[in-house]
Amino acid sequence: MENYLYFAEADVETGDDGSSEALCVPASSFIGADPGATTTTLRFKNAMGDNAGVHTVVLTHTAAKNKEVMRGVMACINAHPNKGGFIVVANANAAALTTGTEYNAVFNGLGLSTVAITEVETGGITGASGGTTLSTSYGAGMIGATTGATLPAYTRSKVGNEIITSVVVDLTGMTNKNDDGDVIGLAAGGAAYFFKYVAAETGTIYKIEMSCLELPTASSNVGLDIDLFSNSNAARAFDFDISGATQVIAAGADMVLGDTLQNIADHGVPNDVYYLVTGGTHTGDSIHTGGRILIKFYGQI
Amino acid sequence: MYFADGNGANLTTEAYVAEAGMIASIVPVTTTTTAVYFNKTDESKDKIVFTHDNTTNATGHRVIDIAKALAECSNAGPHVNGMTDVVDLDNSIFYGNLSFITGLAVTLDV
Repeated sequence: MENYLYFAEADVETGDDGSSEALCVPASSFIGADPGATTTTLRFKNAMGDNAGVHTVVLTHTAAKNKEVMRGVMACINAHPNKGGFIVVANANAAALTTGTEYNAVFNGLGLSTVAITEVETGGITGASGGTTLSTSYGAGMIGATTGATLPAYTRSKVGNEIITSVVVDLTGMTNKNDDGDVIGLAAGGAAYFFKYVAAETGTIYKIEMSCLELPTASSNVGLDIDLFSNSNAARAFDFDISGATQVIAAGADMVLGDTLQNIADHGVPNDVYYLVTGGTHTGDSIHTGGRILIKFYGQI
Repeated sequence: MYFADGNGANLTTEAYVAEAGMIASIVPVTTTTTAVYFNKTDESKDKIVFTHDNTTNATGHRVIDIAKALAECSNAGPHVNGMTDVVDLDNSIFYGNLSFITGLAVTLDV
């Protein structure tokens, strides 16, 4: 038997993005509670199915009522011991006009007023199309194939203070301009960034690697010299000359299957986004028919 | 718990069976979609996204209805011979009041 705990913020419209506005978790995933001046923070393991993921729920309440709030949460966790069930712990969703807020009766007299939900996701992460908030965001010009949905694939692991975020970019369908320093992306346009430096998620980035998992191919004029640039402008699209931005990795030569390049000095700065860029002129524009590149961002918190 | 997307349940991701104790979390995604994540034993996970009506500013987001139904399902084992139909769009079978669900998408190893 298992109890499931439900929490909701004042507005419940979106989620699955690091700050879900509602959350239901099994009671057995509870890790612990941490007091604040007028808040109690609850943490739950296995956020989004990740071994190292954590959901955080912050309940705001009258000052000095932390122990009572914790006792209330424990009562919710241990309710219905013989059959399990669905427990509304704190539902602040007043936007649901016919129901309004609903706080469990165990919190009566404790001044519970707001609910704030966040989550730290690890393992495989679904990228945010068009987003510029999360590190795992990509632009419309970075969707690998015009007729398919080959999207940048993200994974993240955290060991101690080390956070490693990996992105695999499939070049299929993207165009590599015959001009050193031009952004690689869909010829049809659209911002072609595939990652954002968000220190709260990535830690302080101290190393970046770029590896060739599948050698890029094209029907003609294949461009194999590919660089990595970062820039604060998240609107750069295919064919934009970004050579004045920060060059993170200068390949200096054609890619070789299985080889890995590493940045030497520049990493970009927080809030920069990252672009793949033509590293050298070739005989004509390449429309890639294949090619996969792994970019790994190493961070410390 | 059994889920099927209405495409015949004879190709990968057209159906999914989850052990009830593997539910990790249930969260809204947009006003008309809700995601359920399932724990796995490695760093990947499985995910089902339900499509439903938008009741956000009426009775509230459907995430609470889906969460309530899954909580009931996961505790229903002894009474349903081991497998509970949660949403079977091949046969229009819905657990409880989940008939507002119009689609679902299974993603393995997210």
